[in-house]
Amino acid sequence: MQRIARAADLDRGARVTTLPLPRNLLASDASRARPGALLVVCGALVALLCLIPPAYLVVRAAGSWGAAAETILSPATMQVTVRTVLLAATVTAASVAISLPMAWLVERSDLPGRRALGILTALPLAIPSYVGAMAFIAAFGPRGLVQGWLEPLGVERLPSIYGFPGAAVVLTLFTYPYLYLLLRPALAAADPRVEELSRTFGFGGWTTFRRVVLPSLRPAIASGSLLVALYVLSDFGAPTLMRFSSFTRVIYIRYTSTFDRSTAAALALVLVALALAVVALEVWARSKRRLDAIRDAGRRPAPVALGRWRWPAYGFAAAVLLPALVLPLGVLGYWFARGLEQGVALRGAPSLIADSVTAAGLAAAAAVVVGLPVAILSVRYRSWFSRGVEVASFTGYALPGLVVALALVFAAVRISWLYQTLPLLVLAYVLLFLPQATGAMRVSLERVRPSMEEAARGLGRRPWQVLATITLPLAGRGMLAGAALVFLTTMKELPATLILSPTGFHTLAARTWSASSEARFGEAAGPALILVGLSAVALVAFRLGSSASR
Amino acid sequence: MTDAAPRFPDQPIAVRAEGLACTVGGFEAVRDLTLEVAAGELFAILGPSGCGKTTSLRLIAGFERPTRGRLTLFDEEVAAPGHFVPPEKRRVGMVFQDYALFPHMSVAENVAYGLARSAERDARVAEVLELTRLDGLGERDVHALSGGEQQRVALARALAPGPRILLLDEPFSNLDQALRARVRGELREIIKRAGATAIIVTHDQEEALSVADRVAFMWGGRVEQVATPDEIYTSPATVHAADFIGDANILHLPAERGRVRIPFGELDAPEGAHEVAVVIRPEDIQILPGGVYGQVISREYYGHDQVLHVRLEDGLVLRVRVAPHERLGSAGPISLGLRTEPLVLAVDADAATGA
Repeated sequence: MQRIARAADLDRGARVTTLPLPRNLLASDASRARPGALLVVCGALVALLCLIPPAYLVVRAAGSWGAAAETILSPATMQVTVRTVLLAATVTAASVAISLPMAWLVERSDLPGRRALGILTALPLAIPSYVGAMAFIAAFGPRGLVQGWLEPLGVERLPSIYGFPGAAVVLTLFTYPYLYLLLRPALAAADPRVEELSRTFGFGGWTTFRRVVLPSLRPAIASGSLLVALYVLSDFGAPTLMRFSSFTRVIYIRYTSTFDRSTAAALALVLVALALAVVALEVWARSKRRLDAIRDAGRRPAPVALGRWRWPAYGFAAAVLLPALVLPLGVLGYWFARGLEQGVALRGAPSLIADSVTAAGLAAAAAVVVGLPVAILSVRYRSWFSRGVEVASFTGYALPGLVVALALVFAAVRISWLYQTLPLLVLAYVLLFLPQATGAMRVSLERVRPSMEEAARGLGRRPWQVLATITLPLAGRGMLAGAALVFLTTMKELPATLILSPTGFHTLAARTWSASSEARFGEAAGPALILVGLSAVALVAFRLGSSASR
Repeated sequence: MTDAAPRFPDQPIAVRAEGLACTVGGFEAVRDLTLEVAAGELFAILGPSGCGKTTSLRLIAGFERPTRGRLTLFDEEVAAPGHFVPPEKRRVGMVFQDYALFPHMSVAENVAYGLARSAERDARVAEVLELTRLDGLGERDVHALSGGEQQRVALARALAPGPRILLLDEPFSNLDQALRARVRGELREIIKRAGATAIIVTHDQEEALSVADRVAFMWGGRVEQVATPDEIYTSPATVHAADFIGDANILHLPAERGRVRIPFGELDAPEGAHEVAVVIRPEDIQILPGGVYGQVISREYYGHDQVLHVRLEDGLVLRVRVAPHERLGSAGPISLGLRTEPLVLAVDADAATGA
């Protein structure tokens, strides 16, 4: 503790200077250019980490270039590509068709019960798509529940639900919430004055929606569509169960059946190219114009009175929520009861829960820690370096889980102490879901005004002290939201979990998958229900964290 | 033309800026910041928005690095080519325009933030809260305070560690009109009682003139004049200063052989000037029988006085400030004369491009 050296300078303010000051106020060394070196090093490390999977795939495919090129250019590959792109486009379009009306009903109409509807509409996100597919098959498949009910009426078989239509329906029902969750805040944040202005020009409600509201939602629609399309490209469980040969399934089969790694890597590169094309499409759609509204803070537009239209609105909601929520939960409940009768419903549940929560918890914590420098760089220090780190952090997210898992397998087989260990699995999760954590943290970091941090610097705190006492406490909710989102996604993740889990390590997702793919639904239902329940809790935590930070 | 001599000759120089320049986002916001502020002085930097005044304050605080020039605080060089002392080591207190209170801390926690953990910390917080008349509000949440109280918390937080220099960025802009005059007086009193050297940045001339001991006028990233409030008002050094500070009729006229003609007669022009600006304050024109005739074309009524727009016979329109009770039918002829000799400024090439 030092006393002020230059008290004489301040003799006029003697009473002000009688107290000790933080000692760093007096030291004088040259400060660094911002961003601080620590931040730059952390950012660079994260970027390098994120670039491992794509780099390794290229190295691997290039190792036997002829075979790789042959695989990539084969008619079969072309066919799969077209099929997969078609599926992604269909599911994305259908998701917009569901999310936009639902978000509008919840945010803008006077529909009674819209608050409950708002929560219920987001919940299918807690149901992994393979669990949804499993429920669909159990209900509508050959010898399924519906056929069983209809058998007395002489119905021997139902139209087949397998293939493209089934995969599209199932994927839509369990991925549309990505879009819906982004559309709701966008609709809520739209400036009501702009709409009022449009009405004063004599445009009706529908024209105003089409010409003013809809364009302002474009960034949210673009971001949400990106999430949905990337999910469809990368999903492995639902297409496999629905017997639709999507790209991911083809790669998985190639990898597991033949252990032919270079062609698997070559195919993975094609999938990467598809994913990057989707990302490029989203960047293009978003960057056409800046659309962030200058907001009339706090005021919300008057809800639109639906009148008799509320009955079709309820009908629409029911048409979405019955298959997306009631059906899977009902089927799981039914199978769970059957499993209880057979005494297999909760077999090994405690250890499954422990493994799942361990993996997802570690992934969530690691993603927040790794994502922090990325978020700080992108919010505070806009430069080509920050931009580069941010783009690098997105690569894993754009890559299907299967591809990242394979890349890590390729990379780790040489490092025997890492192969099939928990750290490698957690690394895969972090690479896959990092942007979910950075995205949520960015939002709350943007709330911390730079002047607050500068005020703290001016009061004698060093940059890292400012981070610890001002920035992080204020961004805490965003970190919670980010962690919850990563936790939720990790719990449901399947391909990386299947490929990278250590021996003897079984998560709820893996057990649900293995039991249901062997048609032991009584065994699958218990873990699946627990998985859905835990995911729902994480979803609620995410909503709390992100809504409070708005 | 720059009067940089401090008015506190027996005091040490608290801030000495010599030719500071700073580029923000590719734009050279500050081109030449040159001024001296004496210890204990309350100094104002005045100028229109975009003149570089906030950047100047941030340079002194250490939030921006100068591209040129030197900055010395109490004989300690804090910024020079190849040398830079970060803000946390400058012992400078800053009050931000948006106050930047820490929303996750109480009033007392905000004030204590800059103080080291010590036995005296609580006593110091209480002392500063009392000084800023916030005693009793220490446990309050900062969201639960009025605008004036929030401003005093920001001030208390900046004063607590005993800064050598206090910097205030537009400290009154977030307060409503009625509160401003009161808070202004309070702020001056608190700063004077704390014995702090303070620099206030503002675009409000009334604020600068009424609060500060001396005022620096900035335009286009340069300090154009440093003077006391009455000096800067009565003898602005540049056309910009004359135009920005107070109300003025500015007549751009040619000068011949050191003389310039205005409707009221002939004036001396600065030597060698070909073009001059004649500055006539509206209150320096009076209604005077037998003077220059004109027509009243419109009137702005302010209560304490009124401003007439008068078109003279040669077409020139002048603003004339007269007493509120002066009853004048519009469109009536009126005769005007000057109370004092107007100021004549040479319009140099530099000022002409800025105007």
